[in-house]
Amino acid sequence: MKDILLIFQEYTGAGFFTILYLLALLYLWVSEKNEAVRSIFVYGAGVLQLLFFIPLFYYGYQLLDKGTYYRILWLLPMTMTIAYSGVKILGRYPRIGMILGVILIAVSGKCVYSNTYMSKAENAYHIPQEAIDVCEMIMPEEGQERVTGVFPDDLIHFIRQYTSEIQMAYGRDYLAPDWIYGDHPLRQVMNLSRIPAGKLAALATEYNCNYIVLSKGKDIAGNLESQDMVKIGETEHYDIYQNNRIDIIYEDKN
Amino acid sequence: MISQGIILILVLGLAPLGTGMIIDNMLGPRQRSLGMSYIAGFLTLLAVFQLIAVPIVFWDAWGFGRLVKLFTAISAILAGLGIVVSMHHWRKGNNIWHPVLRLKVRSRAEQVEWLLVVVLIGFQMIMAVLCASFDGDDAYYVVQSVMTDETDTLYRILPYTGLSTSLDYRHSMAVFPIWIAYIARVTGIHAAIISHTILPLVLIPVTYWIYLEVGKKLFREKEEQLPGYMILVCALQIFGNVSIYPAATFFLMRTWQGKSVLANVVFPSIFMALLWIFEEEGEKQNSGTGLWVLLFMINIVAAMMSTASVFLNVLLLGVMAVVLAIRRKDWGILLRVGITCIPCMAYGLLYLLL
Repeated sequence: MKDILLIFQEYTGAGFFTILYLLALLYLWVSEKNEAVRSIFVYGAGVLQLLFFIPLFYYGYQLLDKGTYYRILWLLPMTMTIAYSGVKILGRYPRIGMILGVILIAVSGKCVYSNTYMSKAENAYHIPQEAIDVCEMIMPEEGQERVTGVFPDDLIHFIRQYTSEIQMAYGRDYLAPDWIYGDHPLRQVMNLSRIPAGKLAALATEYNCNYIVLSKGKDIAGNLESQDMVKIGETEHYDIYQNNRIDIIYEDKN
Repeated sequence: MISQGIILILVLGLAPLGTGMIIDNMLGPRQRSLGMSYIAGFLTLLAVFQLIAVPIVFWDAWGFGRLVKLFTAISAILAGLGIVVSMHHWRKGNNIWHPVLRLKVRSRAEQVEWLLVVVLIGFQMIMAVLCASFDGDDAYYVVQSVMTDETDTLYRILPYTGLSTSLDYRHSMAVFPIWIAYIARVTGIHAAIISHTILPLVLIPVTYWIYLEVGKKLFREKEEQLPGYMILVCALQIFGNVSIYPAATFFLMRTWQGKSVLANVVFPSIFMALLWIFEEEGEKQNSGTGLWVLLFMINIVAAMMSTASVFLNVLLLGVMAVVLAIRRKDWGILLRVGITCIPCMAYGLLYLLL
């Protein structure tokens, strides 16, 4: 039960929308005359809510799919119910009622456009332009096979959204250490506060990386150039090195 | 650029509309509108894509090119068929040119309210183009679309790294990313642009149109209250970002992902279909077979969005059917709704077996 309550709490945030929904539901329960609306929006939704809080149901769901129990709450027609009841209640005072309704919703909720993960799009891809610039520098040319690179964590999500021609030594599945595989040896080195050049070059070669992209200002112990790493370019925040120990492979034209 | 725009209009505009005309001819007279035709066609084409894509994914690792040709041909046939059927009805003297919204606007105040609804929806569409929202899952879903379009392979490459892998049966039954790759392939537009910039321009209005169809039933005796309802729906979506989990957060921050379509298009459209069917039946009106066909299609579309979601869909329809059957003392409802759930149950069984 504790798990269910935690999921419910995380879903509802501060919980004001849940209060609005429950009030809307209560209003419909008391006042709704239409039998179909009453059956679907009051009784049907009510049964779904009850099921959500039953521990046996929770354990049964976990057998089918883990980590998505919150989606049961997607089955509740919250938006329709709040908007419908809201208009029925506030509709008695059309204009001022509607303004009040919108203010109440705005105060109870949180504007999606103020979310920290929302930002001005830099291009039509909605991928940071710098990630695209890095890709353009290392993408295989016509006739070359795919290349592999190793990237700082902040680029990991974006590189392959731009092109599948660039493979990665490790991807998003290694960003959360407890998620799937634990930490990747190359990532451990990439995230050291002082990166040993020899170790980085050896691991990059072991994992077949043609390119290493490093955040600018990374403290490197030793010299990457002496490890067959040649700096081929830079962007505002990244330096791009080519690993000459790994050959670029050309497609077999036969 | 112009040719890409024309293909987009054909694939995302005219093909669904033409296909929807087939369903439209099966709807009861009170349900018909141009918007309903589009929604029905949009969902039907997604369902058809799911039906032909899953077998190809299973048995042909390099089958994306084949899938593109097959689905294009079937879409063209369905859209053409819809137009032919509608023309046939027109020749018989039936009105096929339904009003776009089937709404009556009674006063100047109502006009202003509808204008506000259009502005609010337009604002969300513009923001979807101008703002980028970061979501880690794009490293799987968007990359899956990009890879499919660029390599022709279906679910045999790990999106995170690009290394080869065996078929991941569980994810590969939810082929919405492959549908995005299809749009990218036929238009020649990069799959990331289709996902992040183009699709929200379709999915946001489609979602609101479904809410509008629900509202038309809820306020059928007080239609003048409909714009107020739509304004509140807009406000709830815009201010619904109370945590990372609600459907509203997915709606405007992850519009292009299958799970967002599930929460914001599939589930609301189930409420739309149920409300239309059972209110008409309650009033002894003929709801037509179209809505049942649509409900069947919606069940297939649910499986396309997230394989695990088939259980949610069956749960939703199961609960609603039991409640309606008890209240109406009509156990036939269980059978009728149960039949529409067959696709979800079949995909669910496959999900458990594979």
